[in-house]
Amino acid sequence: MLVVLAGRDDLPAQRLVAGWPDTARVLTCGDLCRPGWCYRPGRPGGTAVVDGESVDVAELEGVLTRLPAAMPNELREIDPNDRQYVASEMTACLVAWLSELECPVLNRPAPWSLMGPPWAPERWTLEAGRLGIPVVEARSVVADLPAAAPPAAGSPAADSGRDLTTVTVVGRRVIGDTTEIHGEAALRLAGAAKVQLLRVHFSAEEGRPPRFTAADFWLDLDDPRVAAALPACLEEACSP
Amino acid sequence: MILLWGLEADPPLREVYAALRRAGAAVRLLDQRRLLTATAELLVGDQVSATVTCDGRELDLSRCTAAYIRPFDATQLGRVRRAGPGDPLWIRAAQLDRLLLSWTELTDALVVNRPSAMASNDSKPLQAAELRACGFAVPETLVTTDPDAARAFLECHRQVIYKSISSVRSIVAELGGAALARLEAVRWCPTQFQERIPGTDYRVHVVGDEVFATRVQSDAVDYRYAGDESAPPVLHAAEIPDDVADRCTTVTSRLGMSFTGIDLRLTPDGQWYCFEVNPSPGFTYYQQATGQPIDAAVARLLIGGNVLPRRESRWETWSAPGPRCNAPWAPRLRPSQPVVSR
Repeated sequence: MLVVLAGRDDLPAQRLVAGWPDTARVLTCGDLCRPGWCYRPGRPGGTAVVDGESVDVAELEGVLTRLPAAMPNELREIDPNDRQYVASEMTACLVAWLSELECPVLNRPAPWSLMGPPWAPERWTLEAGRLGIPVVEARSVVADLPAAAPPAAGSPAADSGRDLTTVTVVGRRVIGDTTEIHGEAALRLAGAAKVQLLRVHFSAEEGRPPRFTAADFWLDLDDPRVAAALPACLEEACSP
Repeated sequence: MILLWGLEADPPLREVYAALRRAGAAVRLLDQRRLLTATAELLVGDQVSATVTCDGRELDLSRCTAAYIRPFDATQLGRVRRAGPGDPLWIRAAQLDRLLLSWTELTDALVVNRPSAMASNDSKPLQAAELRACGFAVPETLVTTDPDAARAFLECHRQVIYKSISSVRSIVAELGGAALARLEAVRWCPTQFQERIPGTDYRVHVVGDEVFATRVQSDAVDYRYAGDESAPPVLHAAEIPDDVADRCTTVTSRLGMSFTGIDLRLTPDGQWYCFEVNPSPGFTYYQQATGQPIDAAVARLLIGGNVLPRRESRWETWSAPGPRCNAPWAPRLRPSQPVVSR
């Protein structure tokens, strides 16, 4: 069974799974509000609940993570006063459970993000810069009251006047209307972050080489090239 | 220069500040209450530069060789909390927290400890995997939404405790009586159960390569909250075997930290169990009871700075800590807990 861990309203994730084999399912926070989870840390096996049904963990062939954390607003079954606590507990459970799975998990979770390292924009910029990739400097300012801080470089507001080129990394593949320079830089950045799935944004300014502006894990699952590349990526992750 | 960031009245921060002053170190304390009027800038390309201006004094953070950080959530400070989300004061407090946390992740200075390294404590089962890898015994654990599985686990181990999975602070409690009666509620949220390990508690503080062990005598299930039903805990400075001390320094280093408070229990048959590695220990509670000079050791660590190459944490990731909260059916929590822990 292939599993996509996603938000309840993540329609692209649902469409992706609909186009995959019959055994593919979406796992949501709602599944963690159902009896059937048995996880023994440090021991293989156990059971999970996926799409409302209890499944043996040994049946899982791969997991795609589309959820940075369990979100309180998704926990409709839970008393509103308890949602924040329950979301924290679910996230802590999922990060450990996903980390121990023997099947491929893309991307491997980190304690503060189930989708991969939750680097701040400044961290992505520094890593790109240290890899020799030209970058748009990230600037954060806390200004005097009452003036509002100017938008940090790399933020959508700061980039609104600049054309962006987006490159998607899926394993060893690079997807997007890109040059070799973009693709090679995106692959190097994904390697530095130790992730298989990454979206990298570059500025496209006339007369200047492309410069890194931001990176995230929100792949466009409605892009047929991305959807087609994911099963092969999961398969590659199985290979030694 | 050594930077301290947190609340001036926070005992660990206060004691380390005093120890640094006694040692003659150049130190600057950024008190979060005074920072409410500060301005700051962080600039990142292939290098990092940052400045904070507070009370008319500009501080160039690139001059820092080390930092000891115990930040509380600044949006929860009285004046800011009363202003509420959306107020410029609230927004600035959150922005400044975020900017300084970001700097602590990016700087080459020694940071005690980087938030990304502290993150391992946000998932107890995840941290337990590291403890096992370092050779510690850890209690048999079940995380479940299945009441029957929890009952079977209790039947198997006879004495079982339950506690939070995340870093939300909870009182460890024994599964029995009233808790058993509301076991059906676990179907709504994964809940962590562990076999109860008999024995004597030890708190071990690792500061660089120095180790301070404290033996804790208490009848309570969770000695931190003894007093309601048990006598207050009695603390004594103690010795622990070299191999156990080595495991403590190894797990601290493996998690990318240089100062930790590690909770151990020695069983009657001589086994050392490890429950948890606290990434921002409130060491003054133990120091006051035992006289161990932990503050001086932290000062020495900070004065030494980053003499070794930067140690990445196991996860080397970060984001701002999330809010903490309570739940009626969960182990009873203390209100208004800071981000940092004992």
